[in-house]
Amino acid sequence: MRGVKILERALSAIPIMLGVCIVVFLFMRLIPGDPVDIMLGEASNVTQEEIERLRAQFNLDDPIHVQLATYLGRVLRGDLGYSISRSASVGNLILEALPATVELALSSITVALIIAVPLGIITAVKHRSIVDRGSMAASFLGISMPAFWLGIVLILIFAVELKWLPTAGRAAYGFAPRHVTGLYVLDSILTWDLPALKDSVRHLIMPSIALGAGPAAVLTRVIRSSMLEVMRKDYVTFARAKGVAEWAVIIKHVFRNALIPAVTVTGLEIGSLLGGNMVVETIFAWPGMGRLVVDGIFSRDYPLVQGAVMVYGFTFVTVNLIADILYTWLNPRLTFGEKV
Amino acid sequence: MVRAHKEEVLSVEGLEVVYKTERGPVRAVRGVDLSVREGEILGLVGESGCGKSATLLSIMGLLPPTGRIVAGKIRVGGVDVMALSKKELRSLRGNTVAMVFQDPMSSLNPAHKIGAQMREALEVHGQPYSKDILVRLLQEVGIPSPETVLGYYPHQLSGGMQQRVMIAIALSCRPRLILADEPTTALDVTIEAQILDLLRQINRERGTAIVLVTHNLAVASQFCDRIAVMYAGQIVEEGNVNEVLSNPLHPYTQGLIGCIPRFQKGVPLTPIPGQVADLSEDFVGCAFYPRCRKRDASCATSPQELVHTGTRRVRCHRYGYVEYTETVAGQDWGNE
Amino acid sequence: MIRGLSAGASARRKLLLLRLSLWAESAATTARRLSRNKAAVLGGIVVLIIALAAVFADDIAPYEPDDMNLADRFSPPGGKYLLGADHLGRDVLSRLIHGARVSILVGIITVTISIIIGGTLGVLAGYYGGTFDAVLSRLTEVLLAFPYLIFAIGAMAMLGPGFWNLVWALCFKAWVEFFRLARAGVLSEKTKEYVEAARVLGRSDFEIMCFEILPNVVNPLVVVGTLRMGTMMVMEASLSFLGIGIPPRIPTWGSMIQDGYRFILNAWWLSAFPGIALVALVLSVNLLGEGLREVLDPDLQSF
Repeated sequence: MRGVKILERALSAIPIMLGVCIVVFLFMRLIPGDPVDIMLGEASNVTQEEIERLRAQFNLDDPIHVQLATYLGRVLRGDLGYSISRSASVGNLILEALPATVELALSSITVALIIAVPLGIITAVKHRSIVDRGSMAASFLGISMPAFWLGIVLILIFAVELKWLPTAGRAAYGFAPRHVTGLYVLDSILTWDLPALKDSVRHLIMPSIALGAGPAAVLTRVIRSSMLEVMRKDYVTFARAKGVAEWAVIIKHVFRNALIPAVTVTGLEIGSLLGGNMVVETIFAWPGMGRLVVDGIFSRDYPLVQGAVMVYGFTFVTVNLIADILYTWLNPRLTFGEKV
Repeated sequence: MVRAHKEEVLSVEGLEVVYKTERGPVRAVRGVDLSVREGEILGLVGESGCGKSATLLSIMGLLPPTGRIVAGKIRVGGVDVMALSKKELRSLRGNTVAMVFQDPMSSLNPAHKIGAQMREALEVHGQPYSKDILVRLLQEVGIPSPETVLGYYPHQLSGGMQQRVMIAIALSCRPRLILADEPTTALDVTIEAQILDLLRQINRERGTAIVLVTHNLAVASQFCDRIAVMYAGQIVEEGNVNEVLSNPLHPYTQGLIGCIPRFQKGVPLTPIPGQVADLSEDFVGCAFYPRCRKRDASCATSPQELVHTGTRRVRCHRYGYVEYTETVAGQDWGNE
Repeated sequence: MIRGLSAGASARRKLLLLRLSLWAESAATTARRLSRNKAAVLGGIVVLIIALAAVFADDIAPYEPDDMNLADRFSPPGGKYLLGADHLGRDVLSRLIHGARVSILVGIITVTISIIIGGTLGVLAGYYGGTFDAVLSRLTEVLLAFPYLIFAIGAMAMLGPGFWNLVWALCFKAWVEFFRLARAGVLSEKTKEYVEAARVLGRSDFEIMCFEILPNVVNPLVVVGTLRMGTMMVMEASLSFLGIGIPPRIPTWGSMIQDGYRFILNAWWLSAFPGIALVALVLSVNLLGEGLREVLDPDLQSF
């Protein structure tokens, strides 16, 4: 029962992934004129071989549906094209940059959850108190504050004035851990490299707070409002009538049910963290996907932009898929349908 | 049946409850006195919004944050509930006094299995909670294949089964008093009868006292030993169920009886005119005055006290002066 | 026969007038209830001040935004330049006032276009269903798979910098949300009795959609539209910060933050003031939107 539901949901992601490919392909074809000429318009140091390679990549002489089919075939084989500005395959470039972005997104959502879960619970329990009102005002500020602006403020305070934290990059020169997964914190734990662990955590703090503040604010509001909704339910009063202690009522009965909508929103937030961080990556010189895309745009490296946008789309769909599966798993009403 | 020698399980004196709302304070309960003895079933009858549920929640100390007890005394098993600490109150809830709610679907936590929810009720009161005990509890309330049901989530059970589970949870610590808040309103009529039978069986076998809150006078007449009729936060009439139903003293009770459909052709229903009293208002005289068929000018101004007449109480200052014989009295309300 | 027709036409005109007066009345009620929410009123006042500053920028800015005065490079706030001067000796305050134009316009124009496109398509898709609805719904699912910023960046990469390019790049995805809101609203409304009644009375589909259903699905569009104005302003600032939004010769808060960021160690005021202005504007728009949500559609999950 549960397996079938989850499989169904997983299969439903396939047409969307296909759509993502088509949209990205169309993006490329929407540029007026011959993309290769436009791309190479300003470049002078391009070899004939590279021009040939690009022409083959876009196979511009075929009818559009043939081009699409060829393109989809390539993507399916994992071939995302060739980047002229970096003279490397787009797939490899993305594979190198992706762990940095993933690590930043994961640590940002961790920051967000560490703030949002307790705050959401407290504000709901102390509904209409000063704590509640203060937190709601703060969350409003968090929602309205652009992440890159918060990043700049953090750099000003903690790097420039207090000199506590480094301003840029993932690790100081020579401190990067041995490559295992590409996630520096995880790698340095796996290889038990303590200096690298300390260094990579220090580099992560500011960008994670800058990126995590918005999701923290959103999640606080979501958890609070669904807690408030659940608290009105009869089963909460019934739990109290059983003699259950108040904290246990809040955690076991209220929070357990309030969690379900929060999971969906967390999934959406991770998705947009993965795809909304290019400005923050730029500020903190974080060598991730965002930097890759922005550099690609400035060097008119369309295959690179195209490949990266597609990977963003895929990641977003996958994260939401995981959130949906988790949602199904947390909500027994969806997994166990039969009535006795 | 005289039960005077039995111990008093619940006593409520002069209970007053006020709810804070956006439109100002609402005086939901206005001086309610109740007394329930061991083995007794008391029916608390009235239209919705008359303060029945607020009275029950006050006994459990479970009024929502907007509600507050402003006056009165509540004793459960001789213990002053309002003097208890939060912890002592918790050990009372589910243990000495248990509650059964109206809508079983929304009263069981959708995220936890039946077994876990039953176990919790035993665990918090330090009772043993082995699987055998849970199975026996489910058997006692007549649930078939209890082992399987323990592993189910609430939504996998029908409404009647859910209500049985809730009763099993309520019974798990052998309470002396069960407060049942419209336990059958959300159920089909046939299931309603089964659930009421189950409750009565528990009452007979174990001597558990039950307070049944209902808006349905017919249900109360079938099930209760004694009934108290509430209107606008006050008890307007109380007495042995047969006496009250065969010879209602208060015009409101008479009105309620007139609203019960009968299985006889040609007996017209006589609805009570007007609207239920607005509890945010204060009234000097009788709360029922605007809707009463037997009022006179003094009813609006003279305060109404509960008058004791033998085994009965009635809150109508005209009691004794008015002939009640023209009402529906005389109907046979035989309790079985 | 002719009399009957003209009577029908005049009745129709009366009905239209009645509807308009009802709309005006409900708008007045909304405004009245909104005015009781202090936070929303504060937000509204700030938005109004910034909008007025943007409209009358030429009259109230103390200097021309492009006037360079190299002798005054990096003048700190106070004195000749209230908020200081930038690395080219331009007055920060004047650039700030002119930069408000872009933020306000981008917010209003993108949201208006998105509501018109998304709302219209959503109402049609919800009302008629069928292939039209299926195709659009699949399309929106695909578009939702792209995070906002990456989509806008991709679009800007193709279109190149420019005000209208930016507007379209943002609208590409922004309409989707309004489409889904409108469609969901119509789906739940169209089975209700009043729609059935209108159909029985012989109203055309167009009349039913415009006069019967639309008033009942418009509230969430207004609420989310207001909140999205803030989102769009942040998007514009982000893109301009990256240098792929508005062309550099037009002052915008995003590009001012970017310019100043290079000199952040010596001249904090270059980035600080546009940043504060941006946060204040977005916060105010959100306060207004949240106030509208409480009045118009309290159950709507926003943000």
